[in-house]
Amino acid sequence: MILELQNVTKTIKGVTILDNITLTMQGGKVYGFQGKNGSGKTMLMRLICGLIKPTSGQVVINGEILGKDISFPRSVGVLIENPSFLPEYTAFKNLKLLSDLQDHLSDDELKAVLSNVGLDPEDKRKYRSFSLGMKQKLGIAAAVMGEPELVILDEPINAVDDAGVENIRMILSKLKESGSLIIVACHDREELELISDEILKIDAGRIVP
Amino acid sequence: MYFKYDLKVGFMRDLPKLLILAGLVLIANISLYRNAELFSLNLGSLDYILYLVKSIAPFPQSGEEFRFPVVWYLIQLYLAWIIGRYPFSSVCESALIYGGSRQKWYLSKVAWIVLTVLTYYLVMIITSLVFCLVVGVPISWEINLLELTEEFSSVALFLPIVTSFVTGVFQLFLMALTTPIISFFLVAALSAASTYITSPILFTNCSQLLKLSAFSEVGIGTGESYLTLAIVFLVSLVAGLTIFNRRDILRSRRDEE
Repeated sequence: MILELQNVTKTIKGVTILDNITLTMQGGKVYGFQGKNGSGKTMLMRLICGLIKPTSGQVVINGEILGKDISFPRSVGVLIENPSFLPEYTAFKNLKLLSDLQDHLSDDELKAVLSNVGLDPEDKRKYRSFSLGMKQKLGIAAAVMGEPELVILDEPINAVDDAGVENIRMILSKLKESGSLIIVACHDREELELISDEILKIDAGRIVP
Repeated sequence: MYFKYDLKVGFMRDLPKLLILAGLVLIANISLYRNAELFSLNLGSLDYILYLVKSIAPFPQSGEEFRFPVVWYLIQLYLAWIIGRYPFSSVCESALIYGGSRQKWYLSKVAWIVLTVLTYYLVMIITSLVFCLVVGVPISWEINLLELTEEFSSVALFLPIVTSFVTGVFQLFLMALTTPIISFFLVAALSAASTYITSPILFTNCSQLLKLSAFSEVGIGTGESYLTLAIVFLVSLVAGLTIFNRRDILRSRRDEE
């Protein structure tokens, strides 16, 4: 997996959100994005997963131009901002629904993903009664199920307890070993240093040294 | 793959909401039943169904007084509300990425609108038939409530369903262009305007039976209606697909709440 951002600029209502970003990232690595609120981290992630289009420049994934050759990366798992799931479904049912949109994963595989993030696959409670931490864990489970080639996680450890954070570290490490390209944005600098192979600082929409 | 998701999330989950429609239809049926008794009208089950979409004769061409068609308007408004709620919700956004194609996502929403509109009208028909059975109105396919003109053709009877489907696709296009709430109000305004002004340009006229030439000498022709709807459908579909293909998907503040 090779992900290239070629002179990417994004302007919304006259405001430059991302400013001429050129970057190459490759599979088997974790890239940590660090920056203040409003620095452009989330916008960059939305752009990489195809939800927003660059005003100029392009995103190329394995030689295919995003938005031209493909709408979204072919194999991607995403957790950006608050995860959205169906409130009246259980964690398992929510995950199954999303998995049916991609390569169909077996029930056992889905249950294993839930266990890995620290959720009980047999839990009959509905999503609406989940704590913030449980919601976040389900969001991570949805992003990593099926071991996608590209994993994008915005603030993955938000509201997650210590044991959950340890689980996430292990999951990311396993994904990295299997060759996935992982992009993580996190406020916690120490955590970011711990999990990332490379840290990229973003400020006012620019990658800064 | 998107359609299976839409079927489960957008359709099955929303089925209970159709109970409100059934309630609305029931109130309209009771109102017609009382009037039929009061004026000794001999009505059959089809009359009860057509009553829901008859609206009013062209104004002022027909010479009749303008009386806002509350039943028709509420039925159209509720459908617009159901259609406006789902496609651009945050739940649907997650599915969009996992399904992998903006075009397929959009086309699946069009298929979802077909299913929603058909079910919506089916609920109206079934509720009216059940009402007729309960109160002893004969199950008949004769039309006594409306006067038929020489131009009447049974094809005109399908215009309300086809118009609702096209309006839904138009609303989807508006959602892609603006926001779900703005698109809902635009469709509500279009529907309201079309009760007052009779013109195929305000294409929601085509879902009001009394504004059609099949039921009014000064109404819009059936062929003209279908042609207008075909044009609106094609333009809405192509424009909607094009816009959605290019549009940025930014999560709204409402979704965050």
